Amino acid sequence: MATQSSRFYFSVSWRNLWRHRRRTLITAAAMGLGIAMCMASIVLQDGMYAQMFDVMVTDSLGHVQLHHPDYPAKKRAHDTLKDDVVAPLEDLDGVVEVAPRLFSFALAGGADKSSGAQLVGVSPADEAGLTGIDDKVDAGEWLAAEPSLQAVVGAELAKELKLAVGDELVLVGQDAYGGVANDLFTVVGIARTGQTALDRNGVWVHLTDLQVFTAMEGQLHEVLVVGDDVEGAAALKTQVVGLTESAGSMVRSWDEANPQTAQMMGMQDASAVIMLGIVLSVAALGVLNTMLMSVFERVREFGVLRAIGLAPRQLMVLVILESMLLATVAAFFGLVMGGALDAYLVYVGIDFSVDGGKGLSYAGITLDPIIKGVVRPQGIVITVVAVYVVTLLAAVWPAIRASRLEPVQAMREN
Amino acid sequence: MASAGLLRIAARNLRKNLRRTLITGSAIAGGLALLIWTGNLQEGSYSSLIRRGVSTMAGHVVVQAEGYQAEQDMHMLVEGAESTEGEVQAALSAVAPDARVASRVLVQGLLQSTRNTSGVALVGIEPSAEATVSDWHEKVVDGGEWLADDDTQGVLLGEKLAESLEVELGDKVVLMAQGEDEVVHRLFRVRGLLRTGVADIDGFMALATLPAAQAALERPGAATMVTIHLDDPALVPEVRTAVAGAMGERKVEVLPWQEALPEMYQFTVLDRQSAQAMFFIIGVIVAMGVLNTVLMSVMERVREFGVMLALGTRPRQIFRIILYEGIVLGFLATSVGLALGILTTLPGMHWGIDFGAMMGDNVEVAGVTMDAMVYPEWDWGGTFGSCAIAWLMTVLAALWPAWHASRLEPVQAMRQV
Amino acid sequence: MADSIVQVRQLVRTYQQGSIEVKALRGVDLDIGTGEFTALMGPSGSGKTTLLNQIGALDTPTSGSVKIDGQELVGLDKVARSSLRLNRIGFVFQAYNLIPVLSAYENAEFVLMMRGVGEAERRDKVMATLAAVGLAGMEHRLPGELSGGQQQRVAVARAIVGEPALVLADEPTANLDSKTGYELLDLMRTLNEERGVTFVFATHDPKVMEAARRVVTLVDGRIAEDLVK
Repeated sequence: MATQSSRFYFSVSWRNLWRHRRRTLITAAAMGLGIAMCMASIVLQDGMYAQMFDVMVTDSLGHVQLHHPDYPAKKRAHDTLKDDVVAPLEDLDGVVEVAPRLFSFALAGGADKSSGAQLVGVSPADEAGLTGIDDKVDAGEWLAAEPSLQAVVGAELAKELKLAVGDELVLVGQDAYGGVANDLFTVVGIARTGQTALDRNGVWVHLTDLQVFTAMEGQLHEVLVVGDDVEGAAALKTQVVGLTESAGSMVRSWDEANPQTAQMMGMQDASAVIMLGIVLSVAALGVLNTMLMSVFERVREFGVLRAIGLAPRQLMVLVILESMLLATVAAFFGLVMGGALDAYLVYVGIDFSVDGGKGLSYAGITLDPIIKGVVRPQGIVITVVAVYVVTLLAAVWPAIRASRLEPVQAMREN
Repeated sequence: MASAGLLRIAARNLRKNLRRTLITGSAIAGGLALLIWTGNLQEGSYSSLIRRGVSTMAGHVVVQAEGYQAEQDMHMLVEGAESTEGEVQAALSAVAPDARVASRVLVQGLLQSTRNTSGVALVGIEPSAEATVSDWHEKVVDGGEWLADDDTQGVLLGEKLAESLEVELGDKVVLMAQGEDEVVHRLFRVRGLLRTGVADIDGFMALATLPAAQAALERPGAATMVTIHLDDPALVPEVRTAVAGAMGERKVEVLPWQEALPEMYQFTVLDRQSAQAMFFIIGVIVAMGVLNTVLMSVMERVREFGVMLALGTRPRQIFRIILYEGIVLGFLATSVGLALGILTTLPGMHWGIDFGAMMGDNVEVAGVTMDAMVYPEWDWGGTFGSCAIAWLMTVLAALWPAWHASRLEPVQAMRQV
Repeated sequence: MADSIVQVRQLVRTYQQGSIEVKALRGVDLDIGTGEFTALMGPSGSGKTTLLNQIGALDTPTSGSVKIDGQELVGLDKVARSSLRLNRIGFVFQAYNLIPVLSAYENAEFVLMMRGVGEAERRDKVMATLAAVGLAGMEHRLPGELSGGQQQRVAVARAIVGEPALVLADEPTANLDSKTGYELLDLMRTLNEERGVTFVFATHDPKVMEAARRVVTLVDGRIAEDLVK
């Protein structure tokens, strides 16, 4: 009985949609267009976010960070960790990579020019493992495993100082005792990481070399720990805390270290929902008109249905069902058009370059000049759900009108 | 006359199907209001971005050493800053007498205290001139002081920078920079701290007087840029031409802010273009809705049109009836949309819209730091453009049904069920 | 005849319906004089409505000739025929005569307005004509506020207000109950006798045949009988 009547409902509603083919098609196409546009927008935005998070979280924040408790707030050079904290971390379950870092500043000079530079002392293999920086070396190669006074320079800095692979780099700074630190390095590679600040001022050297340069042997400013995936960061943090409790270091997961980034990630879905809501609502007014028209044209028909025994609620269902079928047709159009746009965005992308070929920079990240889209299942799901929700809302009024018809009155209608 | 009669029929038809007219009109008005509101919001955010970028990093028009924009080499300087300023002022008196001029020197180097070293971007300024051009002077933390024009030893440090160097008011710091021939060390005393709320600035910026910075580069009298600030940005092209003329054959480049801050400028261009693409699509969606509605309304009146044609009404006159419906509907809906767009912009203008949740409090966009609090501004060009397009699209959407109606044959039309 | 207002000679009208060729009129010769009150009669498919449409310049013949007041219709383009209908012919249809959004007054003045007649002159003529059809005082009512019979009266008023050469009525009584139908016919007879308005009906309503002074019967696209009472 139940399946029989639902087949009845479906077929009546479906056929009624197509009684007015042009009207249905135009309404569905309008909504489909809205869907496609939102899909393309979302995919493009997700592409941007993906790049940003990739660079931010993996490269710059890791999953869990360790610092001297006072370091994050004031960044004073002598608030350090001991470098023996690294080894036990590597043995922890679930830890994929541990990258220690030491920071300093120096004047970096090429043959004629020098400029202020941010020095980053790293363990080459670990750093490459964690941030993939070895892939980001455009010219030359990444640092060797053993300390050998090699340097990798950020792309913009290299351009400014007119440095090429193989050139000598003079670093002049201050050591931990206030004395002059002075050494000659060899440029082995030029890197473009996507972190705007580092690309403009960064010089990577071996950790040990930097420790010697600054007379800070055995010390670190920062340790980044990375697990299997970002979602496991909180659990990883707990483990790390357990291990390092006695060492007195401050352990934070990436979202604690940089809550703004976490906020931005959370906003991804919210901004998609807002855009969908607004755009689809505009299209939904068309749906409202169509459904109202449909109900008013069939007043007599509904009257007959009521006379033969259909309850008001069942008429409501009929109208709502018709609107859901309309939404399905619209979703079909939208997904086809949107899918084509998405494919273009994912494989070809859009050129957002500025200033002679550079990418846009946002929140400290320099994006690729050509932004390629990223399709997230959440994006598609949210879109489809939004279509049905908005259509349902538009169908409420016509459905209620249909249910309120009195049989005799309705049949008399001309 | 006959036109009046046609218009009357058109207007009455809109009124007869009031609900349908209102719903369609709402779609048009709603879509338009959305476009206007968004446009004003964008205008406000670009405006704020540009103001920030222009005041802190460049100027509405800047005079730099030739090639500086491309090379960004801190040793490429404009010689004779003072006389250049004078020439610039002279050129401006004709075109923009209210403009303000200031010179700056940019030094990238290291700042050292007894406890620590940090990279620094030291900006040499003319304190009183600078105060007319940017708002640094308002960001000095309590207890400190803005620099005096003749204070060649004073320096203002970003708050975070001071913390990392572990220095306070009155302490000494040493600037280490690459001069013309050799590395220069120069002693400064901290006169005050700056708090802008922007991490990059508070962590790496310092302000000193022009002579001090010039000495650090071993280039007395030179400047990285001579900046010009205007009250009315529309004067930029004129000012640029005037100043370029005054510079004559000298090896300098006179750039409007769009070229001095290309990333920021092009970001606004790109952003506006993407928005326009979306606006267009929303316009098409609304137009499709209008098309549907007008088409339905024409279909319902086929018999009526048949009778009118039989009586001797010309097809072109039937066309005009539907066209008038589109025009009137468009006009009314556009007016409502305009009013709505303006009304919804007002609260934002007063209280601002906080994008902090989405972007963080001070986000760097295209090289300039943007305030998360956005205040919409009137973009009348965009607003009236959107209105015109909304009206036009409504009329266009009515064209096909109008054409269809005009092609009816009276006899068949009257026979329609 | 000298004062023939309608002259139809050897009128043939054939059209395609799908794959079938329909011969609606197979050679009709007819003259209608000024002041006549004539009914074209016949069963469905006899061609009476087709003939009426030909006379009314709503359709063109496949061959033959139709003259209204001396003006040959064959060969006129659409615009010219439209003009003719506006200026010389009045129409009363079976249903949906009136424009729903216009009042009785505005419906009646429609043709005059299309012709460009000035407002004052329109006012005089329309008010007088509405009174003549018995609708004085109802000028402001919309068709939705008028009964079927009253709507038809407005249609008649509109048809005659422009003083056309003749009024063509296609089944004007078909949607009315018999009392109202008689009243409408009475009105049209009166207008015909007192003002000399020429009426030609296409009908199968016996009331109309009774009231008519001449009945032309069509069978299968030809005139079978032409009875003057």
